[in-house]
Order: sequence, then C-alpha cells, then structure tokens
Amino acid sequence: MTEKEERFLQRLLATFKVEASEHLQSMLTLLPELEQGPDAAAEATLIETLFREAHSLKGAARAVNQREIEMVCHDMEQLLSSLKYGEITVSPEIFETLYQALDRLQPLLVGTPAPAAPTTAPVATNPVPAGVVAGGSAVAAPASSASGPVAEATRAVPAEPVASETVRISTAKLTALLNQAEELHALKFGAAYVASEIAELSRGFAGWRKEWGKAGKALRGSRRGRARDLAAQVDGLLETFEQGDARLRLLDERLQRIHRSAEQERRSMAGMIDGLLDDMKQALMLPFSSLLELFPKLVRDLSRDSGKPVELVIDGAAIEIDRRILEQMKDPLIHLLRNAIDHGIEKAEQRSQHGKPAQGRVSITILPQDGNQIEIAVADDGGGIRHDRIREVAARSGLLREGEVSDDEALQALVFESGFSTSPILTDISGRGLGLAIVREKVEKLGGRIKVESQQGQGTCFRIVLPATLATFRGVLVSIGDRQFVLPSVNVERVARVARHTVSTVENRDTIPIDGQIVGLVWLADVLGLVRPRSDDDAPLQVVVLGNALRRIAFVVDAVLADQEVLVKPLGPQLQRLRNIAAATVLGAGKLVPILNVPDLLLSAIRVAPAGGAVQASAPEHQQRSLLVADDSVTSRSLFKNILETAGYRVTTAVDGLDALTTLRVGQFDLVVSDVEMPRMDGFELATQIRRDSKLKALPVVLVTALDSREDREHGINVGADAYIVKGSFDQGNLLEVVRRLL
Amino acid sequence: MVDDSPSALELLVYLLNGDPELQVIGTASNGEEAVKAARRLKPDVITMDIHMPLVDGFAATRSIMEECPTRIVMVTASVVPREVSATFKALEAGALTVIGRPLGLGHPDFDTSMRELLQTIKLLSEVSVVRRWSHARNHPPLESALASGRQIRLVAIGASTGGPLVLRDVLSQLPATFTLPIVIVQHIAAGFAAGFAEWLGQSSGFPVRLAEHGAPILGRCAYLAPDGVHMEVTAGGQVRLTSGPAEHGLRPSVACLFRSVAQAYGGNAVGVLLTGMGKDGAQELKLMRNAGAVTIAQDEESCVVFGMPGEAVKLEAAHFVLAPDDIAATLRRLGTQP
Repeated sequence: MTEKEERFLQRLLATFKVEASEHLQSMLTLLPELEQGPDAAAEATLIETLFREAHSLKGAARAVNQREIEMVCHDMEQLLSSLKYGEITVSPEIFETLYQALDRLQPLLVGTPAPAAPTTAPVATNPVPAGVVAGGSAVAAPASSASGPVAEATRAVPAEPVASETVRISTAKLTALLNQAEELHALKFGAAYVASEIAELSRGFAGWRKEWGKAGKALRGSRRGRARDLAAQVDGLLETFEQGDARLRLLDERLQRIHRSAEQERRSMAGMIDGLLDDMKQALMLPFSSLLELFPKLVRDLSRDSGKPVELVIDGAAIEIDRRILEQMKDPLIHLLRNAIDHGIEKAEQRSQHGKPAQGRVSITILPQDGNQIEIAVADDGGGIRHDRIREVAARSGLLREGEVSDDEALQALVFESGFSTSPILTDISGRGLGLAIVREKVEKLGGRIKVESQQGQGTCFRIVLPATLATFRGVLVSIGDRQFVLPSVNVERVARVARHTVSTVENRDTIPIDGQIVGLVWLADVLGLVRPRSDDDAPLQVVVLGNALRRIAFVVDAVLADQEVLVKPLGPQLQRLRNIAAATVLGAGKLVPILNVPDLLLSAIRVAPAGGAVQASAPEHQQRSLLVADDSVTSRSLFKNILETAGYRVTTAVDGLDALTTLRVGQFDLVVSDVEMPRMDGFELATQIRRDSKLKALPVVLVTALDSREDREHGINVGADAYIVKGSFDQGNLLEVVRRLL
Repeated sequence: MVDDSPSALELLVYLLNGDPELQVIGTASNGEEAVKAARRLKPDVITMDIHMPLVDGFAATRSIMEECPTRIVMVTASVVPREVSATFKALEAGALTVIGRPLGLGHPDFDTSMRELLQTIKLLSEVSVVRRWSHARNHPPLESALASGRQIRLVAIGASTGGPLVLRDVLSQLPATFTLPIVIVQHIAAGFAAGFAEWLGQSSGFPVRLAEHGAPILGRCAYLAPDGVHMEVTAGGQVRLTSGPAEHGLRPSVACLFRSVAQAYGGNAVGVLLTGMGKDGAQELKLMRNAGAVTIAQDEESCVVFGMPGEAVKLEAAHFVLAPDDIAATLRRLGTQP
C-alpha cells in the first residue's frame, strides 16, 4: 500500500468506527423490539430495517477490509433475508443466533485498529468537580462490569464515554451557532472604533502637552527676563490658557463619548458571549435515547441470566441533557437496572403468588422539571425495599442504634450508605452494598440528588433529579493559616461562627449544636494533616458544615473568604487519586488552590483523633488474621496464598474439602477461601459441613469458582457461603475486598 | 455515488477520484437525496446501492429514469441469491448493469476489483441512456433462409455488459411450445450467478436453472453457467463444468461454450452472441457457423456495447445481425414444434 493509501485507510477506519457503532447500536435496539412480538406490519418493518443495518455494516466492513466483521454480517444478512421472504419465521433459536452474532461483533468492533491520531479522553475537558475527573471515588465504576468496582479502580481505566468521540449536531443548531459567531464581527468593529477614538484622544493629548510645554518655557523665560513686554506676554499666556481650556473641554467630551461607546460595547459583548455560551451548551445536549438504547439488550441479558422474564419500558427518551452529564449517568443507570432485576423483581412463581403478572416490569421515565432540571425515574414492580431487613442490617452494622426509631424515609436513605447491603450473599456483580453509594456519589457530583420510594410488595422507584446543563462550578474559599482551599458549594450546608463554650464532648468527640442538632466538630487542619494555627482562646470558631445525605460534620477553618465561581482544573493523569483533594483551580493572580473532595473529608474526619488530640497514626491495616485456602490446583493455591499473604494475612492451605475440614477442626481460622470443584469433597459440601459444625458454623466462607451460573450462585447461598467469586472475573482486588468485608 | 454507508461511500469516492478520467460530483446517502442530486447535478453515471433507508435504490432508479434518465450502475455487496435477484429488478427500472462492491484497501484482490469497477464506469459513461428495441428494425430472416433441412437441438447464447435485459426480453418471448434447451454464458460479478438466474427465471417466465456438472440437458430449460467455472456441453447431451484457464480473462467464457457446441452439436445448434465489451466468443461463433450452425449477432443499435457482436460481424461469423425482438422471433421459428 502506498503512503497515500495508508493515510486514506486510517481516515476511512475512523469513519468506519463511527458508522459501525451506529449500525451495531441500532441492531441492539431493534432486535429486542422484534423479540417483543410486534404486529405483523411492524415486524416486517423491523426485519427489513435489521436486514439493511446488517447489510450496510457488511458493506462498510468490506470497504475497510475487516473480513471477520463482514462474515458475521453476511450470516446475519442471510438469516434476515430468509425471514424477510418468509422462508423461516421468528423463533427463540433465531433470536439466539442473532444475539450471538451481535455479541461477536462487539469485541470485533472494539478491536478495529484505532485511527492514527489517538483521541484524547474526553474526561480531560470535563469540568465536573470532585473526583469524577480525578477518580475522586476510587470506585468510580459501580458494579457495571463483572470484575467489580475495586477491580475497575485499580486499573484506573478512564471512564468510557457513552457516545463515541464524535457528536452529531443538527445543522439547525450549527447554523444558529454560526449566526451568533458571525455577530461577533460587530464586536470587532466596535472594538476597532473604540481603539481609533482612543488613538485620536492620545494624539490630542500629545499636542496639548507640546503646547503646554511651550507655554511653560515661555512663562519661565518671562520670569527670568525683564518685564518689558509684560502685557504682551500675559496676553500670550492667557491665550495658551484659553486654548488649553478649549482642548480640555474637547478631550473631556471625547472621553465621555468613548466611555459611552465602550460601555455599550461591553453590554452587547456580554449579551453575545452569554448567548453563544448558552447555544454552545445547547449544542452539547444529547437526547437520552443515545444512552437508553443500550438498555433493551442489557435488560434482555439480565433477564435471561436471572431467569426472570422482565419487560423494559422507556419513556421520554427524546428529552435532551448535557452530553457530559449523560456520560456520567451511564454507569449509575446500569447499576439501578441491575439492582431492579437482581433484587427488585421477584421470581415468576413468587409474582404469581402475589397476583402479579409473571413478567416483571422495569421502567425508565425521563421528565423535564422546572428550573432547567430533569428527573430520571427508574422503577420496578418488584417486591420493594423491606424495611425490616434494612433495620436489621443497619442495627447489625451500627448505622442505627438498637431501639432507635427511624421513619421510613430515613430508613430508605440508608440504602445509599457505603457497604450497606441486605443481600444474603456477595457475588461479583452485586450484594456488596457499594453500588448505591456510588450512584449517589455520582449524582451528587453532578449537582443532582437521588431518593428512593418504595412500597413493600409494590415495587421500588429511584428518582434522580439532575441539572439539564452542567452548572458552572461554585466553591467556598476558606483559609487555614496562609493556605487557601476551595470547598464545593454543593456540599456546604452552611457556614457559622460558634462560641467555644458551646463545644461539648460526646462519646469522646467534639460536637457543637447547629440548628438544634448535634454535629461532630473537627479541625480541617487536622484532617488535612496540617498544623493547627495558634488562635485566640476566646475567639469564636469559624466553621463550615459539610454534608451529604447522611453525614454532617462541622469543619473548623480560620476564615471563610468568599463564595465564587471557579474553573476546575483536573489533576491530570499522573495523579489518578489523591486523598481529600479532587482537583485544583487557579484564582486571581495565578494562585493555585486545591479543591477538596468532600466525601473523602467526611470519611477522613471520622478517623481523625477525637476531642482535641493531635493527629494519630491510623490504626494498623488489620491484625494478622488467619485464613485457610482450599484448592486442588497448585497454581491457584499458590496464587491465593501469595495474594493474601501480601495483603498481610496468615495463610494455611488445604488440597481439597476434606483436608480443609480436618485442618479447620484442629486450628484457629478467621475465614475460608475455597474452590468449588475439588476431589473428595467439593466446596459446596465443605460449606455445608462448616455450617453444621457447632464450632465452625460462624466461620465466613468465600467460594471461588469457574462456574458462573445462577443455579450455582443459589446453591452457594443455600449451603451457607458468605461470598461467591467467579474465577473468570477473578482479580485480586476483588478477592481482597470481599475478604476484608467479611472479617 | 449513492450509498447509505459512509465508509463504503468514502472508499468509492476515493477510488473514482483517484482516476484522472473520472470525477465524483456528488454523493447521496439515500434514494430521496439521490433523485434530487441527479436532477440538480446531471451526472454522466450514477452508482447506486440497493438497500437504503427511506427510499431504496430500486425506487430511486425508477424515479430517476422517469424524471431525468441517467446511466445507473447498481453496486451491491450482497450475494444472497434473493437479494441479488432483487437488485437485478433495478435493471427493469432502467439501470444499466449490476456490479459487485469493490474490495477493501489491503485486500489481495483489491487492485483487480478496483480496475473492474473503474473500467465498467468509464465504459458505461459513453453508452446511450435510453435504449428501446421494442420495434423490430431488421426483418427476421425469411423461412427459406433457415430451412436447410437441419434439425436444431440446442441454442447457445453468450452475453456480457447489457446482456441481462436482452436475455430477459428474448426468453420472455418464447412461447410454451418452444421446446429447445438453451445454454447461456453471461459475464457477471462473482457470487451473482445464482441470484441472476433466479431473477431471469422470474422476470422472463422461462425456466432458468444454474447449470450443474453432469446434469442432462433437457428441453424447454435455460442453463446458466455458474461463476468461476467454464461451461461446456457434451455430445451425450450433458453439461460439463471445467476449471480450465480463463479465456480473454474470463471464466466462464462464451468462447469455451461455443467451441464445445460446435464440436458436440455441429450443425444442429443455434449460436447467439449478444451485447458486451471485448471479443469473447466471436471467433468461436465463426467456428459454429463453419460447423453448419445457425449464428446470430445482436445489432449495433440495440447493443449497450457493440464489442463482442461487432467483432463477430467483422469476422463474418453471423448469418444474421438482429434486434432482440427479431432474435426472439427467429428462435421461435426454429424451436417451436409445428
């Protein structure tokens, strides 16, 4: 291939990537629609369209010599053609074949050689504050992938944008933008006019100064000389003075005029720039459909995997929202859907017992709201949130004190707490209780809010309210000594001055009353590991109350300086994750100021030493715990041993279930990690035996397996395992996190 | 260039603009845009995809031929016989020919497929847009000229560019009483033969079958040569498919078929050479004539390309030079049982 052809091919591949993902997306949307069994006319249209999409993708693949894609499409085309001509009729087998073909296409398309110029990750331009950019949440991707959130974070994969790197903008929008840009010409002319006026003015001044200098010289001359021609000289000076006066008036007039036109300029410039900015934001708006079209296939897969028939209803997909917000909402929405199907919708038998239709129903409804806001409601008609379960788990994990009465709303809000799960078993995809916490974090970072409504037995509805466009970021500027920090305004509940004598110590922690509530008090300097500046013992404390849905803490600062708009600068790829700091901003005079990560601060605040003490070293990671690993494969055994020992655990190994059980009975262990398939005694049997043994029955059991099927997971629950990890998605972060949670 | 795939379109534009003799003056991504663009730009040639959203290539071709007749080349990647057959319907609406989509850059056969595409487009840019041959121009040969006491047992037809429509016209005029078998070689893009056979059978009403090796040649049936192999006939009345070297760069070739007919059937056959570029079959039609067969070449006026029949005329290989209707009339007379 010549160099020219090579270059062309690169360009063509870029075109192909965009085109192919459109065809694929379209097929992924149409196929579930066809599967729903529409009427005959609609069916014919769907088949025809699917056929055309497959055909076009084939043609496109041929153009870039992607023969494997071409072949897959060819098979689809042939099948769809037969459907079209009525030679065969739709059947579950045919759908399976077609879905399999689509599943084959997906990785092939991703594997298409990238175009020559690597596309820059769109996150870099993303002004979303706090962590979304800088990976502020180490668990940025909720359980959307089988490898789990922790795994995602360790790999530090930049968030994949919803749409490709290109955006389609209607020509109408572009024309409006062009018109606005053209109007900027007027500003150019206006500025040129003001500039020429000022030049004229400055020439006038120069002339005047020359005259003035001459007059001064004359005046000094007359002082030294004889006063012979005094009258004449006075006349001359008087004339100069009068001329000067006239000039002054002229220049003043001119200045007034320039001032007026500059003011006018400024006003129209402000109008045009704001308008252009608004329209630019409009151009970045995308309809929800560009995200939602991913979901029919997802729901179908989840429905198949979980063995529960589920129908997905989408409403309001045409409503538009800022592209950057939409991209950030992909993972949270996937998580909510997963939740709805995994936990919300009951099994078909159970549903019919309760007089519900066997097919479950999950809906996503997009509704525009007042004040440039949009509500996304993700609802299911499943069993609803069980308040008794929440209360039980909350009490066990200390979120709710024994006997503390809490109303339904407050109880439901607990589901967003990190680590809160009512699921009886941990699996790779759900049950860790991290998902909803991450969903809330994401939503809050976008300046939105989320709440849950649930009627037991009727279903659950998550309502997310988001701004339609990404608001400019506002922050509260505070200082500690001569250092300044920005706190995101969304998280600042209030600022206050409190008298020192109102500080009281409750359970070894400083607290103050704010609005009649007792709120924990910490010094921001302590949290950030800075030295507390000396302060007057009598001076009131300046506090900033930070909070999210559940936790409120008052942070002591030296001064609150301002509440202002700030431009968020991400920390860049070198600093994937920094505790307590989300990003930075440049304030006037080029001063670089860190923007603090509030969720981090709230967590760090709890660890900080209580009641006026100095900063303490954080507690040792974990006291040495003793684990037993049972696996018949030497490789797996030593792999587990290595991972767990590196993480600081003491590890003993066993070659099968029976060996493990014997070892357990004679030793002291805190947890068992066991393979499922083993000779003599398998993992299920081992778990069963452990639960039966009076001494061992409370021992946490983690099953690790190559089997990923619903039946096996359920089998795992039935025999009393605490966690079930699939080797296919095995990842050490995953294992360690599960172990940590169970100990 | 009309295609709903941006990638395919970009490749076509790149290839055509790379040839100094061709210039792409516009593109369209569906039939509706295509009709508008044809009206506005008045191109010499349009390449048309068949499967497109809104208005497909078939409907677009019909509209363009009604409003502003233009030379249209159908470009398709489909080799599913049903779909190919549907593409050939565009010929009935006025498109000139059907060609396969060029292969992608980097494919080993890329150069060949590109040359074929460019050559076809250049060639067709010069043919006249509207072809009508519904009125017989040359009178069919008199009974006396045909009656020489021989018994006709087989009709062999060779065709290339422009051939499909002539074949349809000729076959559709053969009545139920026409009992002779017909063997046909039509040059066509790889993978299209089965679809073409399906279309030809449907649109002409005459039974058309893709020839199979060793199959007996039966009366009142047209056997079309499949692509990639030569088709021959044996004295025992069987089809033979062989993979000999390409002749005139073609396989199947008309030359190979006609040679075998001259050998196996001698004077008991009719040879017809229809429109097409090149010389394939002209020499061998002469061979048939020398063996005593009745030989016919299509006349210049009705030809899309007067290449193969023109060569035959030059070699004095044809007894008669006729328009399609007259060819049909002649075959009728020779092949209908009294």
